[in-house]
Amino acid sequence: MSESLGATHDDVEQWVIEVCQNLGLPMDEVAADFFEAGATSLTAMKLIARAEERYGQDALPPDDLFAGSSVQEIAASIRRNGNRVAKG
Amino acid sequence: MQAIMRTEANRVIRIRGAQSAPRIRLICFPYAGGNPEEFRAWADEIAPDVELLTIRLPGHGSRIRERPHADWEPLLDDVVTALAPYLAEPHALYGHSFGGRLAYEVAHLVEDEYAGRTRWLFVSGCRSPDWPQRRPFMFEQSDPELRATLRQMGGMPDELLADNKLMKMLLPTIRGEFRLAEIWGDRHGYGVNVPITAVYGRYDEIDDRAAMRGWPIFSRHRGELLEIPGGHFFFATHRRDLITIINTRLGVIRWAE
Repeated sequence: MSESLGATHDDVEQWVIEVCQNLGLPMDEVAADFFEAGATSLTAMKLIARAEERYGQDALPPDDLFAGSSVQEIAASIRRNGNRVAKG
Repeated sequence: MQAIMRTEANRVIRIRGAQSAPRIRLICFPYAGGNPEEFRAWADEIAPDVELLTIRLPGHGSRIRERPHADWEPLLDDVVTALAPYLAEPHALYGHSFGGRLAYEVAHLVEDEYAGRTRWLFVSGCRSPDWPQRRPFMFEQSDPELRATLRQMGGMPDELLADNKLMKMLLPTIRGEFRLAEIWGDRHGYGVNVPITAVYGRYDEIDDRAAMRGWPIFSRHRGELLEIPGGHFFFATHRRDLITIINTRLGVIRWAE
């Protein structure tokens, strides 16, 4: 896990971290896991809604979020599915 | 590489290690549709010498794309395989509702494979094996009916129940686990040689005192039936009462605190 500590956050990862913190979850690095940090299905619903507001409809499919819930994985799903995001 | 490790690790969740050498592990089984991560709320309250584990079943969390098991045998096979290293060592089992049934079935399997390793079985909000399931079955309801039932039961926030996208994803798992809970009965004809503590909620309309009164006879060791306040979800609303019962039975509660 230590190799991810030094990884630079891209914009989407940074956005995910900020929203998660805003939802009250203690997450501050890209390896942090949404559900391990205490998120419930209700928190998931809120994150999905915010992702859609910011990155477009279906930007974060629920099954993607549940299947891979680290900041990195969430950001990768948004990059794949969002229609208002630089694909990089 | 990370994906492979994840596949192996994603069935058992270690909520909290023991703060000293574990006197005992407590393995917790969620209710139907319940998120195993809910047991994280127990981490600060369970006695320090207890290691807390739970299990992620198909259709939950990182296993979201797996279908729920259609029968008890494959479910038990999945669970016992994942938990094998822990079931071979001293442990206690706890489950609520569907999880209570699962805990009881695991206790039977452990008795065959690792006799004496299960030191205590806790079941809550779960009818005894001989008590008939209420009809009509919930698992046979249409999606809208099932959502209405879930709303009435009170375990899920209304906001979540109103979210079509999430419910479409979650309902098949909930339905599958309801089904196993509802078709379950006395599969053995005799109890387990493990002390059983059965806990019902005073206002639980799903699994009330009558439905749980039979549990003590399913222990060939000793059994007790306890009441705590609350409805079916006393598991969440009266967590401390429940954890106190468990801590006391495991004999590791810190009386000085």
